[in-house]
Amino acid sequence: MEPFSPRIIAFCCDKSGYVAADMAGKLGMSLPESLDVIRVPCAGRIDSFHLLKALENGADGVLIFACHEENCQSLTGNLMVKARMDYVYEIMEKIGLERERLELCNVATNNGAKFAETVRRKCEDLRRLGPNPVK
Amino acid sequence: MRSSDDCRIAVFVDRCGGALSHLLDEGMITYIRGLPQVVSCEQHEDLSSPQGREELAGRLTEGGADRAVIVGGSPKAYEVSFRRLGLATGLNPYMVLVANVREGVAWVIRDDERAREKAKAIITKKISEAGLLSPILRKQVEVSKEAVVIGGGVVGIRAALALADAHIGVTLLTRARNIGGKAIQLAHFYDRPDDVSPWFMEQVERVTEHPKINVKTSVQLRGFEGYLGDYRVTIQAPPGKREVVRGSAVLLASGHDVVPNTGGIFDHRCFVSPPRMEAMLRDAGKSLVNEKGKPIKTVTFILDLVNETIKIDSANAVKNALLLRGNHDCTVYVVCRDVKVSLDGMEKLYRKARELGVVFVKYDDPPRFSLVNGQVNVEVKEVSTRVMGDEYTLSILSDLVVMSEKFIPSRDNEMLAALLGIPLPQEGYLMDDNPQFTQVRANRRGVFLAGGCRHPETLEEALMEAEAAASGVTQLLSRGIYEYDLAVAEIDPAKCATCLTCPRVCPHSAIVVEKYAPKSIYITAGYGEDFTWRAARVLPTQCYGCGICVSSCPTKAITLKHLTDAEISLHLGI
Repeated sequence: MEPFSPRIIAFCCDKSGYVAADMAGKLGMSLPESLDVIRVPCAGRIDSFHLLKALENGADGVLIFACHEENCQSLTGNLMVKARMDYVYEIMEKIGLERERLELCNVATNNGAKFAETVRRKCEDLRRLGPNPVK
Repeated sequence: MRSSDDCRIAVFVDRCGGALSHLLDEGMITYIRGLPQVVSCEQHEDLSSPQGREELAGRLTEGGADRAVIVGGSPKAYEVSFRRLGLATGLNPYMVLVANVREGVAWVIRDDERAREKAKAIITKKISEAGLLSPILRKQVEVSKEAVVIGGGVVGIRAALALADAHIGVTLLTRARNIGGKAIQLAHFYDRPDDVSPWFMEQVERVTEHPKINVKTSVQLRGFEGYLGDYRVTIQAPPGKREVVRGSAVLLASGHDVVPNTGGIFDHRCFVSPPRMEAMLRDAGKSLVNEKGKPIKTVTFILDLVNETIKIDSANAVKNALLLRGNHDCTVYVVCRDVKVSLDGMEKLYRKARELGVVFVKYDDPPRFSLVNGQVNVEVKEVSTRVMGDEYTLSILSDLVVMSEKFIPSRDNEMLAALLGIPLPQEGYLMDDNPQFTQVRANRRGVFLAGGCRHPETLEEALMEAEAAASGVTQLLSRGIYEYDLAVAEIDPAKCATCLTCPRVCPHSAIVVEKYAPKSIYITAGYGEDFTWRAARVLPTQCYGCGICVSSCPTKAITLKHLTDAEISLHLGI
């Protein structure tokens, strides 16, 4: 049987995460094909309901790639999403979803390798956790 | 959310010079042609080449297509140029999408079959996303060639002159009774052999006489509002009435403060501050004498007890050490933790000082001072010799000890930050929008920062900064119009509850609360039909389109024009 390939949704900040994702591509890093990249203008654009909806609609894991703290081009975008994630964690705990399914990763534009590494590590973690029970 | 049925999508497949040939083969083209709403699917070897783009420009709207999807490389590289292509044929730039199957698929997924499946999924999603697009207009506002410069120090003066020379009218506001500021304390430039004062006097004279510059002295800032093209600064000359000064852009050059360093030093005529040293050098004839007429033979500069991250002291100490050594034949010691030479030409100056015999002494523990026969004995543990085993304690018997003053953020910074909506980090200096990319710009479009309000800097650097900020203002105002895309957030006044969340979270101070909405869903019974409810409004010229307010709004009254919730939901598979 083929190993379970977890579906990962990655929200990528246009200013850092998406460029890093591009760089991972340019470097030819291998990424799981079950990765969906969503480009957002700033991590602050991501609402808590986007995160919850992503999990509800069958994503096994959600990753957010934002700028490093105090390095956000919109000053507070990455902090806003961090605060919203805390709220989402609370809800996830209540409904019995593992905390590992949602993660924020601060990257810079030249962190292509880190991007690929994070996605692959997440993929491994989720494989261990098993599919999203909401599905 | 389903897309409207009458949209017609043209798809262009870019093989990126053969890099995607294995992925975007005939089978894929047939698959794309079969998708709903697709009217045409063309393929091209290299769309990002000049010829490719030319060809694409002519064919974007072929077959009556009103939107286009380009399948190929990363949107980061080509999106902007692809978007602009359609303009000539009447296709709105924001009706063009780029599906990334190169960086996102071809180069990261090894297995060809899986890559093809993934590419199909991405293309399908992008095509249905294209159905949700709506055109975004390009707008322009008139900006008058008027600017307000706040601060009458050397930076404000330099910036005002640079602006006035670019035919921009300037109102120069200063709290002080006269323009001038602290620069007059300097005797000489470090990077050229000139005296500062004649140059400075000429600058002040030019500002007061320039027909384009209106100087207002002894005024206090009372209010600040507006946006690019129409900033309104309320000022008051304390006993007088309030007055509103208008300008299209604002340049803040309010400077920093200086306090004497008193830590561990006793009051003695041998201790002088750097400005006093400069004055002594300016007034000195052939020989340098102290107040009692005794000649000064040994001078010690003590650096880095305060201001460890600021390079002004280093520059001034090396500059003055050279003068003392060269013109007055003094023995000069510079006692410091580090000599900061990261200034233009500073390394050369430092070298020259060493060659002339200026002694640089490095310390870790602060030096100790004692009085010996009317001279100051500076005891310092020299650390640069530590590598040889022993540590030497030097006793420097000095006629004059120059103690640096402490540079602190201006006490006005807090007020300015609150009034102008500029972030104020813990250190107390006003912050640029982005320290790497937009250095002299504040977070509000049309507001610029220069000089000591950002960080204390040497005269030469501050002048450069003033010119940079002035050229930023000139760039915005010189055409008389400012053009921008309406790719911004927009608030539906009918849904706005005036909770003031969005003006609070907006990093660019682009949201104001206005009394204009005819009604609100939260309207309370008892008010008449003509009651006007206050609602928030995004100032489109100020908005950077980050979308923070959109996801913060509790009533979901805000939409981001270039990335609506519907588009994100589509990707999430809702």
